[in-house]
Amino acid sequence: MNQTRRLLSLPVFAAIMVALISSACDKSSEAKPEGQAQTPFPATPKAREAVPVPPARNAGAVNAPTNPAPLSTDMTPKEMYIAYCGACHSVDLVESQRLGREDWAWVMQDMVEEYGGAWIKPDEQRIIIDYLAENFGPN
Amino acid sequence: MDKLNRIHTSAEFRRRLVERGATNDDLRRFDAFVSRRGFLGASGAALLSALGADAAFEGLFGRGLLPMAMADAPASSDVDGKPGMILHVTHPVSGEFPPHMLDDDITPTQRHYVRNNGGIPDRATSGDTRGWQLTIDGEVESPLSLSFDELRAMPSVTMPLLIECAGNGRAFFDPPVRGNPWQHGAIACSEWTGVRLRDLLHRAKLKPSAKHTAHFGDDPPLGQAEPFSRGIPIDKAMEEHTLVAFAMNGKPLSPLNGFPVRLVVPGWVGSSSQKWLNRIWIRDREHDSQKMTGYSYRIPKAPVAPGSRPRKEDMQIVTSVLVKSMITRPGPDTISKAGQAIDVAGHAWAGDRGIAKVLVSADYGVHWIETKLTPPPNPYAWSRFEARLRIQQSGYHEIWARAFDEAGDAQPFRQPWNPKGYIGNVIHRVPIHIET
Repeated sequence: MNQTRRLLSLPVFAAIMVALISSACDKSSEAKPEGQAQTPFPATPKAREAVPVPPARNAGAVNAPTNPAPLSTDMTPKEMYIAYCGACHSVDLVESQRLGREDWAWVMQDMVEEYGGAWIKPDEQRIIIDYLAENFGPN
Repeated sequence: MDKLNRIHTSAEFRRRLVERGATNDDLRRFDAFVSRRGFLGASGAALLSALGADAAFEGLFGRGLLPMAMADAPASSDVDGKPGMILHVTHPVSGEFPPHMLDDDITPTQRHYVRNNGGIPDRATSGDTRGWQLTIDGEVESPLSLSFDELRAMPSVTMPLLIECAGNGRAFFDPPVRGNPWQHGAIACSEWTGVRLRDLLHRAKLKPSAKHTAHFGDDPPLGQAEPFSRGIPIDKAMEEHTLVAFAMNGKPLSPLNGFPVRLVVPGWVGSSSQKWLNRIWIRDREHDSQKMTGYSYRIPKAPVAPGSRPRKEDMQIVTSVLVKSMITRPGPDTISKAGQAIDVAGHAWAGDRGIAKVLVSADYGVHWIETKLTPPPNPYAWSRFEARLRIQQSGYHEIWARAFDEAGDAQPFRQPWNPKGYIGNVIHRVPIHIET
């Protein structure tokens, strides 16, 4: 990863990233996407006002959540991990675990497919998986 | 049995561990212990001399096990209303209590573990029941919509009921698996007051097509996850101990444990017991939410090799928890005197099944004593076991407990593996130190 000169200190940077990406994580109660061969999943009675974001499985939808691309090239793997993973849950969820690379890849797959992380680009996924495997592996 | 030579170096010790089948995780912990504590320091020497004994070797290392003295200690944190909770995750809140804090037959609210999947609903923190509704719909003749007061006006029962997280014991899986690394304390047996779900379903008049429930709650999901939802077969829903609970230990539910109303499906994995309940949808098929499909809350139909990933088709849903026990007294690293009486106590449970007996050992499973078992107040509360031991030899020892259920199943000595570390029930081992 480039060690370019950064304008912001890590804590400020991470805070901004989390704020930007949190908008992608606003909760909405939606029916399951079409194409699922199942009874439509009914909305919970208390539907919240949602920032328009596509269902998790439609990665290429028009109103996809913003991936702040201009900043992402400047991120170190650690910054990316904290910003992306910390957007929806605290990072201690990640750091309490010690897994091999294959299992971290499985976790990432679930985040992308089921928890709304479809906006994480494949090369970014790889960067984060590598970081997790190296820093939170079994050894 | 051979006369075993004394062990003089950590290298010899490590070699014996490997010979006896210690896992990579055991070896990692051993290496960390050695580098942190200096194996031949004062405590190391004491450990060595104690572990040179034949009984220790056969009982412990014969099974390829590492002394509990080398276990990693969890850190505790302060969460509102749950002082001393070991917090694994800040958001969504996930925390447990160590066994020595869970001795009470009725778990106090402040010691009930917490496992959230999403956020905490506004109503839970405001404590306001006005406007809350419980909807029961789907395959019923008369869908219901009850206010909190209407629910409370119905006949209710009060009883201690056990709730255990599906992931309790996950920390002891080897190789490590994904998920919250619960140890022994993701379990509680508080006193719950509620309306039997059966009575509500009678009132709603189930259609013959009713097969399965689908539960919904007020907790906002993380990211774009589907709102957390699971369900149970109609038979379990109609079982007389399955409650729609509105009081916990005689008071309104705590915010973290599901205020104002939750399901209590005792003896089954905790995710069946939906918190912040607002709807039960009766379905004509097994519920197919995200948390009822794929690998969620599923174990392989047939045992698999550790570290493998069976196909989804070869997985089955987890329902009742397995036979298990927890030593609450003595606490870990208690110091006692040679020959002095040691009161051992704890709880045992087996989900839908009853407990037949609980045995304890102080010599790594070579000799076992049958404990005194107190019958539980109902089939879904845990049973108390008690025994009095005397250990004559000074040094490091472990108290082990092993529960047997009425069908003859018993806890394993090593944890059988499944990909997501569900329903772990390996025996509990508590280190203690005996002085002359």
